[in-house]
Amino acid sequence: MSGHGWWNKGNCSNNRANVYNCLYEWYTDNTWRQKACSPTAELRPGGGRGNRTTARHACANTLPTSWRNHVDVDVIGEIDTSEWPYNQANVACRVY
Amino acid sequence: MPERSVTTQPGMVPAASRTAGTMFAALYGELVPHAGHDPEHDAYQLFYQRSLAMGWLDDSSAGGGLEEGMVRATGLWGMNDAGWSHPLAAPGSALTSWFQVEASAVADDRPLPVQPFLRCAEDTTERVGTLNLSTVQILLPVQGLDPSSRPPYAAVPSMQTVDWFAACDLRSRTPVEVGINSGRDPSIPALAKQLTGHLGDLDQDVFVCSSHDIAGQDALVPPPFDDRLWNGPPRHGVVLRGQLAEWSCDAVGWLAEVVADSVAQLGFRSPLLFTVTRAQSPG
Repeated sequence: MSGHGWWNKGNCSNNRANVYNCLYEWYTDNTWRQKACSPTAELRPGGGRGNRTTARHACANTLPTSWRNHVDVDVIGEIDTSEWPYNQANVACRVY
Repeated sequence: MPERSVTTQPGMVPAASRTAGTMFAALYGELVPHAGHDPEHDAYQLFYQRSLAMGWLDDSSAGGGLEEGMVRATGLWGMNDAGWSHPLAAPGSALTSWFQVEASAVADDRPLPVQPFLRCAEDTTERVGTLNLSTVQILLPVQGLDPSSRPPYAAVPSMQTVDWFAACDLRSRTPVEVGINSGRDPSIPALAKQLTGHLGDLDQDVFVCSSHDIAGQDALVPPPFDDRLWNGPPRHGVVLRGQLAEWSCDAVGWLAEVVADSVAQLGFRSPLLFTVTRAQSPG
């Protein structure tokens, strides 16, 4: 199980950001539990090779499970906004 | 070892949107890189941006941003991963690129989106070099198709677009071998005769089958993904031999869509490994 993190420049002025991403697994008590995070990396925008982070976790089995991949972006030298964007998917990968 | 709660377990969000399943494409052949290609623009970035540009990327699962509550794009797939090489590729298999997506739920009167998927895959690969394609391999999430939901006018939805290939130059017809493999499930060899009969009964000549054989693992390029992604390894299959209207990802994608719907109609409900190889022309 893996997820990537990257950023697009949008209307930011600076060309570098500290980025990491984390994988969260859904539990039947309606919580999302963190299972893996990438190291934080200083990235240029665009999401190309060398400008993505990767969080990984080995699957215990292939039961269908809901996952979220959250990406945190801190543009260097600029005031952060508060969003914590994610994509959600059902994946044949379960972790305990 | 931590104790697990009896009642609290990982699972699926009850209201989560339905998807068809994992779709994977591997392109094989020779890729001569364009001079001056910047390797930063890799398969992942290019495929993602091509899918987005074409309006085919499903963003409906996104959330958590300042734009919470905005109308998100529904599309044909969500991005998983992509690359030029793969650690599970067979040595010497001439893999040029691979792409993995989560196919969105399939509309009742539309096929699995294999043609647009391969369009983005081929565009991405040709963006960085000149491709001489020899084999296209696709994991088809047939389990995401429900033949009972198909309306009468679209029992095999791709038949609605068959005339796109009627305009092909007859000289473009290309001999191919089509590997169709159900992995550890022996269903596909058992369905081979019905499948070829079904393809023959459709009013199409995009693919004209001349013969078929039961085939196992040795007949295939080993797929560059883990057996757990489907029902692998590829033990049970058939190879169809025949003529394709043209050697293109469009024609391969169209045929994949038709085969997926055909086997679904015959009761098959699992991921299917579909491999089309350009055969050597006689003479």
